[in-house]
Amino acid sequence: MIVVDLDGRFDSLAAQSTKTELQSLADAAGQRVLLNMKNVDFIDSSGLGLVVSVFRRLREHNGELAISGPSAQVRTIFELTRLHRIFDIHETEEMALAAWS
Amino acid sequence: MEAEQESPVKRAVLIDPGLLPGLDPLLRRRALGMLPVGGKPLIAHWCERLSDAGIREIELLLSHMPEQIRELVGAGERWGVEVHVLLVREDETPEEAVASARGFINQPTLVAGMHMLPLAGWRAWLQQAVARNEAAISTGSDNPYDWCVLSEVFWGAPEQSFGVLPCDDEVHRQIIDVKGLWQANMDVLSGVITDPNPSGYEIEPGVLSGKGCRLQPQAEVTSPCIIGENALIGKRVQIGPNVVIGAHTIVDEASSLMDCVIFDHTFIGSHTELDQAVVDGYLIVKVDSGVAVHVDDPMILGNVETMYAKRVTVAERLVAFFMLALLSVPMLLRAILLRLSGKQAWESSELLLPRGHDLDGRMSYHTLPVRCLAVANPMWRKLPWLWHVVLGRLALTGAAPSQKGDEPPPEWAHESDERQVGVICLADVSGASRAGHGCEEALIADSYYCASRKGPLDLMLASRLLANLWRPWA
Repeated sequence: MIVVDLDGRFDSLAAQSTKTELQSLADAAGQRVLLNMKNVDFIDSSGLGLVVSVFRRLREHNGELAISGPSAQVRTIFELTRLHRIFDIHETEEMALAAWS
Repeated sequence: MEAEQESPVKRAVLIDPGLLPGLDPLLRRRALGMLPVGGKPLIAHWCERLSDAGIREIELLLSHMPEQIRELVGAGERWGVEVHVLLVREDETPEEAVASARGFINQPTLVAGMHMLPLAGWRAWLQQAVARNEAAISTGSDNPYDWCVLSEVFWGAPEQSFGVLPCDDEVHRQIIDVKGLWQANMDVLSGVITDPNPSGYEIEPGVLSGKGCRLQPQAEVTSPCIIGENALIGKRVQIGPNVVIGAHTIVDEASSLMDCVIFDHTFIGSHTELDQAVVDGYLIVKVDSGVAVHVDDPMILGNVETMYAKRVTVAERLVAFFMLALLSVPMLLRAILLRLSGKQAWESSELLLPRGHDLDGRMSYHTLPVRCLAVANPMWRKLPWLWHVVLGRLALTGAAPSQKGDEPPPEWAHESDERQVGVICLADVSGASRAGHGCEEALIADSYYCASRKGPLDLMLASRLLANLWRPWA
């Protein structure tokens, strides 16, 4: 299980810089990745696109993805794009870890 | 029936309360009177109701973005009333603001905050208030100037005291926060608030549509709904129940809207889901939580006016037309020379108009087929594009699409390193090729400037374009 702490604006620039790292994490078989978005104050479609692609890769390798601690702003964007129905979104990191354990 | 009763007052003073904190995010770009209620601005509701009641003179005390109200209301001819505008400072108290209109109040006058929406019982209250024949009478609220009747005698009263005539929920509705605005819209849709003059055509029971509204195949609309004029509803979009969509709004494919209010000129990206929200361009306010989110992502939410060149000005089209007229002869001569020398005269190409990233992070584009003159000088190559400016498909000049505050321009505005946001597109075309970018990227960058908002730089553009035509042909 890997917890990835993201912070600041998770936009196209941030997505570009973290893309390789996140995707390599997703390539391990059966990996569980928790994206901790507690300190993310904005996410755009590029950031969402990266999360979706990581999610797809994880699924291909029988892994799992969860998201924890999104701010109200970030949660709103997940809801706008209907992605809140796809991802497991938890209020806190502890709750997410507890759900997996 | 209501309209036939003669109002006991003939004048009204409406006070703009300025930046109400509860409406703050929505008032950053518009005046309070421009907030939409049931498909039309709040100030239009006021003018209609006052006119129907026989009030013939209205004094507007405006402080926040008064030009918007002025532009909409004009002198009031549309409603058969006479409108005067008086500018007041935003920091003035209601008392000070009303005092500045003192000369106007020389008979019993309705004084109200613009944030109050008059309901069915407002005229009955007015009649009762006037019948009491007091110098000033209010509903007993903390701020009496929110809703009161004043007479000229009031100013001579030693302590400017207000009589109290309480009112029930049928007299007026306060709109002081986003939830209140949303609720007022929902109540117009459900008929709790009656709109005596609803705008648009009833295309099916409970669905009002403005002129020029387009619904693409498989779009589903569930009543009650109001769709503003020239709105475009994409394929497989689900709208309603309880949705108010402003004019010139675009709802892209497969989106779903329910219990929400969409302001004019909003772009809603494909597969977006809106529920219990108020949306003004790139700003969404969730009604339940009160959370306001500034999205500004062309794939999710945006402002149509700043995202694409939807309006090419007449001046811009004229400049393009005259430039084309002036340059068409040498252009055609050049084409003929090419043909005579056995070369191709014209090349087909496609402009890529950026719209943002999709959910996989890839750029997404609209396309526009264009013809280029088959020469190396990029100025000459693009001359035929002027015809698209004349037709209003492309703007002549480009400027940054987001110029407000510290909002950064979108990433695709920097496709080419050498370009700066806001430079003139047709006059500065070779930057991308000089920087070693491929043709496609040059086209993207050019298209961006063509598609983005433009400034009043037409003449400068014309002179620079002409000057660059005489550069050596590479």
